[in-house]
Amino acid sequence: MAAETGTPTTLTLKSNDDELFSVAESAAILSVTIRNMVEDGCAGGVIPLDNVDGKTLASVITYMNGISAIPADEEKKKSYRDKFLSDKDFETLADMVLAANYLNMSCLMDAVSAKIAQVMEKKSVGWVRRKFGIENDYTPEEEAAVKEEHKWTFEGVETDDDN
Amino acid sequence: MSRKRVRTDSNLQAKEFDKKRYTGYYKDDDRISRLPDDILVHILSFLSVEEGARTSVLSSRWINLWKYSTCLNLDRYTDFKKIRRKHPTTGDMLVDNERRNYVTWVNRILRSHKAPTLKQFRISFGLNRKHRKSITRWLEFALSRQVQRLELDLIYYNEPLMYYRFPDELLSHTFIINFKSLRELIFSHVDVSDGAIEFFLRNCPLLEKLIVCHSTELSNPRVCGGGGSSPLVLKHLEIVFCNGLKSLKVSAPSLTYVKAATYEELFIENMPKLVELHINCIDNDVALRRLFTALSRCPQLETLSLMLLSQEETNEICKLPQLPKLKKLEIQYAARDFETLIRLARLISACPVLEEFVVECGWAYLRKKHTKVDYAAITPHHYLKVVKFCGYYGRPRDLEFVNYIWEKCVVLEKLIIGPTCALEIFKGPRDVEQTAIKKGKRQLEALVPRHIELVYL
Repeated sequence: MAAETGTPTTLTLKSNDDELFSVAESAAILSVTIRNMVEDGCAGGVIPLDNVDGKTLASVITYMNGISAIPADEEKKKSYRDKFLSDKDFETLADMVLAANYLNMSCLMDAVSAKIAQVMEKKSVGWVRRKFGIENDYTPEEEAAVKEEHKWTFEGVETDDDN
Repeated sequence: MSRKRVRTDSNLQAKEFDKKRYTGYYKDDDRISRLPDDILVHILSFLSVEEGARTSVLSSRWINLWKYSTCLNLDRYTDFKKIRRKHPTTGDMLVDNERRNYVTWVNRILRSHKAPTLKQFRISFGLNRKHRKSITRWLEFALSRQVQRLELDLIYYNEPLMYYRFPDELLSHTFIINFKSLRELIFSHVDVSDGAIEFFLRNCPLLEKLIVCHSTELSNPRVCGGGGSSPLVLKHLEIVFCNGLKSLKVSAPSLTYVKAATYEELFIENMPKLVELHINCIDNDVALRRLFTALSRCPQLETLSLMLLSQEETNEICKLPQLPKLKKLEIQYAARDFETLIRLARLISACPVLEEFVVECGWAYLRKKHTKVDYAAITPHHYLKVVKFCGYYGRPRDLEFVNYIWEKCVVLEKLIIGPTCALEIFKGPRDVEQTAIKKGKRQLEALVPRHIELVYL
């Protein structure tokens, strides 16, 4: 493999909509899924990533390159992650969390999950439903019963009559 | 995908929900509900337990997800603190009440919880020995789920000798309870015995972090291992506020961080990877020499925070063994009235590449007149850039020390002066501090050369 020639190895990743991306191996192996393929010697040609579309993969690769350029400094890495995710809408975050899960990238998975959780924090049920477009399929009786059972969780939350 | 895996088991006609909803699909714009279970559970693990559990009201999709979260952070310490603050003397009944509520609350959560394994389990509330049965049950709950990070923080309040004691029974049940998955173990206001510590070190091969604070029972623990059959991977060790601690022996090859406070004997060895150490030392030549000799065998040590414990007698600190890589040295020092701060120069000289020096100096009435010290013979220091001096009261010995600093630290860039010591026990009377602040400021502005940045806190 190219490692023998001393030049940095580049991998080619293929999204499920047949887009091709080149990425440095050193950045790509942030994904345990990809790292395993490399270690098993399956990374010679094109690596097909069947569960990730081109748009998301481009974004993930931007992240891979960005984060791997930062030396071991957790503070700086964290602020890079915050900045990277700051302008992403929920649709993109959902795609990213699925991709991070599939690619087995725990740092991205945690960052995106924390970001989504942060949106829900301290918000009323009604607000969260509206924000994420969650359809309430409880009957009023069911909802009252679930609420009663989880009464202990409602302390300190703003009441919302639209829930 | 795996959307249907979480089964509802609440008493809310569970099967109804199963049939009616989980066969259906979620609206296109309800993207979040279409995420697979394990991802949603992962997202919920970033919320508090209450916040997570509240999502069960969103829709039937969410009713059981929170029960599979692998992080249980059962922290209601703020509530406890509020009650205590509101009713400092008459609140006992309220506190008891609050404690009962907490126990009920935890029990209820644990009853509904379904995750087969736990990454984190944390209890944080003011409980004591009276609640030992519940607490022990909680520990069994967490340990039987192969918990990786276990934290028991039972903030003690006003009840001497009432700490919950980590039960020996748990340790003898290794055939039922498996300690092998523990990576982090944190006890605060819990009585942990020497034997228990040694047990954890022997039986938790993955243990990386061990913190014990406020244990009255700890007396002569040994944090040793790493040889032969039991490789110790412990990286982080803290043993603090354990007033009964008589001696501490630490010998663990993977340690990078140690914080320990012992007033008597400390034996440290075999810590080739140690980077940061916070420790006490008796303020005399013999003890300091012993400590520095041990530390000179820690080639990676970069940060040392040292609290000097005054003794009846003082003596000059002699030349100490060198700490070749030390970059930051912090000294907490209750200098007595007859002492000069120039003594500390010996410590600085023992650290050839030191870049930052911090001294927290305590208040003392100076009965004796200050005798000037001749520090001309001390060799200049060539790396020290930043010095922080807290507890600068503007008295001759304080001034003398600052003089020494800027004369002998030839590359000094920044001098930070704090007029009062951050440590509560070292603080001086308020009025004394006020005049000291004004006086000190005048003195230093006239004295310290322009090229050194002078910062007043």
